[in-house]
Amino acid sequence: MSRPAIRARGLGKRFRIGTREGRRTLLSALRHNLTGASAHRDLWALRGLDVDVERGEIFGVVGSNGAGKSTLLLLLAGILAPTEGTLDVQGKTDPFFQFAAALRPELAVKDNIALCAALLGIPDRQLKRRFDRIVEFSGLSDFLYARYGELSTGMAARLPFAVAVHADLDIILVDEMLSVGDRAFQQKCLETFRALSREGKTLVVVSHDLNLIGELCGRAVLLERGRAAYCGPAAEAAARALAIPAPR
Amino acid sequence: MTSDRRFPYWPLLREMTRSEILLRDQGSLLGFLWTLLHPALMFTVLYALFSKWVGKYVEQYVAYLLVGIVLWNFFQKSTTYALGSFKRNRGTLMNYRFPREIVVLSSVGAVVWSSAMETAVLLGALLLLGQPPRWGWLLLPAVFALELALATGTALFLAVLAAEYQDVERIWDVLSSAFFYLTPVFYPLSILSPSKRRLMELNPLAQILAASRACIIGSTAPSVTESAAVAAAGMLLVAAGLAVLRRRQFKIMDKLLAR
Repeated sequence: MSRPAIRARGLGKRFRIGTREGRRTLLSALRHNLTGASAHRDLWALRGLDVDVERGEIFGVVGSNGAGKSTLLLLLAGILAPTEGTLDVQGKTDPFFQFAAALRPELAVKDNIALCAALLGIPDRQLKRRFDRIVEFSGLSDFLYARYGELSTGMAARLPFAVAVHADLDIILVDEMLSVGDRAFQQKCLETFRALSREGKTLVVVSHDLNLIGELCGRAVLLERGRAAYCGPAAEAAARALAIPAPR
Repeated sequence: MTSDRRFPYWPLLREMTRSEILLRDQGSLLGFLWTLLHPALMFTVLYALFSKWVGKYVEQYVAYLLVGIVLWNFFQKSTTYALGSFKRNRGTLMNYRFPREIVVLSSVGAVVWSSAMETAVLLGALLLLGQPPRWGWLLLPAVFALELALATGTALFLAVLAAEYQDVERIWDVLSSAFFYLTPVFYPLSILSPSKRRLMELNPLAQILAASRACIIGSTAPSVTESAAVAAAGMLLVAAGLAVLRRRQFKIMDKLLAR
């Protein structure tokens, strides 16, 4: 039996967050080392997570704000390191989230395609071959010389998405990206996700849209305050997420 | 074998450097001319103040001062610009996984570009001043490579520290101002006492300035031993800076995320 695309055992991530007004300076670091005094406390964003995601699976992650969903994706992407536990990710991956923040609004759409491709590790020759397909997929052919910052949020999100689906990633991590973009583009994204899954790519999708998770994913994990409250069929995870009382 | 295979992140380094260059000049009325305005103003002030006093100890003081300013500016601008590179590229670092040193290297790369333009203007100015071209000018890329290694190594350490501690930017502001006066940018080491001179000669930037001046206006070739020592120090600094950055990279991400 082949190894799963993702295997987490006892996975945990702790952050140190501020408890009072205080800047991180060399002096505050010295004081902390000498006296142990700190303006920070520990926050476990994720703890004790055990999960396997098989190759070709579309796996959902649901939960309230602050439940640890984005932290999980950042760990899977290798952008953050776990504080405890083990995480084995097989294959090339990169997360898809706050796209606009990662690119250069002051530069032209064309320049941002080149930058995004380079960030996703697409070699020059490959980009040259795939450039027309990327532009066609994004629907931005009329805006190649417009400044990226001049695009609407939905249009801007198309660019990194279009580049990423042409980047030969083995594992694709999607964080709320379907909340932007019009209905037609969302439909195109869903069809692409399914096609990628059929090709053997693994997808991990984070969303507050429980209908989408139920419809798109086979299995899902429900996170509550950093811990897995349920892991199993996506429809059941979505139903349990729906039953969580809203915070007052 | 393509350059992509030798260094797979070459396109990323190139694109990020390119976007840094475009962003630095974009939106300003004079664009790239601002890059030249700073050294020109610095030259005017230093020449007006020191040419009569220091000029009598140095042959071709105009050229001596120009070389000093161009090389000092490269070191100061590249280290200062790279210092804030993690904070400036927070969004990119949080959304894509790639070797983190690329954000530092691209910041230094953007300053290499402007310094190359300054050097071209400097050599043009020397020709206008009646200085004939010398074979030594061909050695300039090697001497600049020494400074690039020194600046990159320093930049890597500064970027790591600045991502973790908020006061590093101000500390470097003060230290680099002091370092300017401790580097023979507008004066020759010969006017100092032997004991002070020996101390100042330990400054690798002083050695780089001496080597550049030997190439551009001097009658002797740069010292091979001293240049080799500076090259070794520069490479050691880059290797140490890279090692520290790679060791601290996840800590840096935690801190950037908490901002």
